[in-house]
Amino acid sequence: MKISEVQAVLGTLPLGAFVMDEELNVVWSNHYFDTQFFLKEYKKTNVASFNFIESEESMIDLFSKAFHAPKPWSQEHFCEMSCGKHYHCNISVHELDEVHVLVYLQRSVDVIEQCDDLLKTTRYDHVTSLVNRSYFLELLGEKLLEHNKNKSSLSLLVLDFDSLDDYDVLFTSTDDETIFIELKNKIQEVVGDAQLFGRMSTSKFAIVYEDIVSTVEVEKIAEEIIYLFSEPILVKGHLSYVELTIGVSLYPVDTGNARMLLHKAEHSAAAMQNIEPNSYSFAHKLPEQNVENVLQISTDLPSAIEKEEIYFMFQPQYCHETQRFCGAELLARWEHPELGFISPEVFIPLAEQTGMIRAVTMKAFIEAAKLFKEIEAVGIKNFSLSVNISPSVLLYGDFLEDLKFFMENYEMIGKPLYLEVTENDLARNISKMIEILEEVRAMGILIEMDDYGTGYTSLQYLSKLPIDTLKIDKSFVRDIDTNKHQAVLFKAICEMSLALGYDIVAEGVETKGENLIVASHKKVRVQGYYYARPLLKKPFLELIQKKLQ
Amino acid sequence: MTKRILIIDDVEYILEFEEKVIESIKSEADFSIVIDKASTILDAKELVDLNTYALIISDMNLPDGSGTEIAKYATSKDESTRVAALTIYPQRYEKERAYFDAFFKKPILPSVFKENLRLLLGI
Repeated sequence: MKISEVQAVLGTLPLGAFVMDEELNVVWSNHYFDTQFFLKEYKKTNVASFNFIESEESMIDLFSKAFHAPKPWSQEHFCEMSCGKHYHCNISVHELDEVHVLVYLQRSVDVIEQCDDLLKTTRYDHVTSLVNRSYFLELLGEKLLEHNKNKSSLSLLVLDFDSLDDYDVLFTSTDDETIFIELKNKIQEVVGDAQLFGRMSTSKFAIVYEDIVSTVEVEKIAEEIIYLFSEPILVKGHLSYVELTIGVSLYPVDTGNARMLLHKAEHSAAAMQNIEPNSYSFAHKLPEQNVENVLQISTDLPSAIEKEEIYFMFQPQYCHETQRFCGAELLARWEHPELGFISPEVFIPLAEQTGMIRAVTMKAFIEAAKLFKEIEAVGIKNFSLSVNISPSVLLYGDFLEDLKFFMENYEMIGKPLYLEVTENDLARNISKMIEILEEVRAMGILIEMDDYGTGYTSLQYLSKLPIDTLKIDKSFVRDIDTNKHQAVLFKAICEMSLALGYDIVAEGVETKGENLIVASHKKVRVQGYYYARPLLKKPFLELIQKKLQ
Repeated sequence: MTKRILIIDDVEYILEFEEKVIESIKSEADFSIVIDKASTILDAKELVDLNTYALIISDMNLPDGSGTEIAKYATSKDESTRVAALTIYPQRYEKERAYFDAFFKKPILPSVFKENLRLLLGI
């Protein structure tokens, strides 16, 4: 056999092979030998330099003997692989021509399994044994290349069990991971023809279907999965309900890039969490967004809270009766070190989608507690603070317990703290909201309905809601001094609210004329640029100590 | 019996928050709890030298190093000390798992943190 033939046959096989001459020079070696038995920088020109074989003989003695011995010649030795582990190998030498021999180094079967295990830890999730994120992306990339050649399509589904994201890992107990194995087993029931099934993160799984590409077929699969999880799963002997959302991306419709295809499906799944749990959404049906930025913002959110990149500004409320500032709304702002100012309209919905809104809200509570102390320290009394609260926070199972902890441990009992809920959020799940808000009020916290007039709360419901204050939306305040219809509407809302026993805040007061009209209505507090824009703490504290005419 | 807990974090409001959560479950335990606080590894090591801790809860990203350093230091002094890590990204510390009894995900919320503390303290 010629060396060129050896190269062709053994070049890519998963066993070590090299050719040496009588001088013990290595004249050729295959890729496996180079990478598995040698560190990159190691010179492998002569067997004298080999140090991976554990033998009492020198390498020169061992291979000289092998070169001149009758062929085939073989011996068993322990070898140190480049991964640092020691494996049992069979070294066999075969004659090539008069001046060259071929040497094979082959691990025994159990050893190969050990190496496979090593490979598994880098490619497979250790809990579910599914392919992990990086290997999934590698395989998906290969599939996209094939589909690009064949001009065919594929579908990617991401199953996001968001409620499990806060799952802490207690290493003392293996039971904690049981739920993820149960989820995998359950999903496997419908995976069927899927060509690729992996675990992307703690609570996210991804499935690729290569033969199912029509949206109708994909919808059918998504509905089947959601139906499957409408029943509880058995974990540690207990039946547990889990919520999930599914995001779908399609190749080539959404993108031709594996990473982006996965990101788009993940983004779609996350976007549905706040809108409708246990539902699915297609990436191409979501409004166009800068996905890369959205991903960076989502990733950076948790650390932004801790690093105080997310901070609070305070918009004062003025009270005509006392001619003083009498309250303020806390408004979250984010100054990102790379992306600059990120609008709350961007990061609040993302925080809601990722569950981080609970941490943002808790930070707002802590900030309010601190501010109450500072306000008292400058001698101001009867000053209220309002914290915006998202329905996803209110509806979260532990919210009331967390709120109680805050009230009791941050000296908040008896403080005029408002929770602001928008009218639309209240209307969305009204009976549950009433139940929770009543418990919130029982803790001595006041409730404000934000954006009043823009939602769909019927007057019948309005009288039943456990609220203390209505904040009239700025669209009803604008031009009340110049537009008769606006003025009539504003007056009617004020009279009705007062008759129902609610306090009133007029939002968005920007001009002297608007302020004069609002001032003519008793008991109406004013919030708007006419008095102050949202301020940082220092100027805010300076302003509220002034008495304005 | 008294159990001593050391909490380590360089963010003041988080340290205060953790302290308040531990204080809130004190009454549930049939032992008394003493809390010490540190903001750096250096301060934490000094406290570990002086006291015996039942539990250490450390942020992973401290100004003078990683929480793993304090975990190694504390357990080499007393094997019975339980150590929990607090981190935004638990998945980044897979290799350090062996040094900890638990990884808790930041940002922490009172209800979840209380439950984890109960488990670690055997309440």
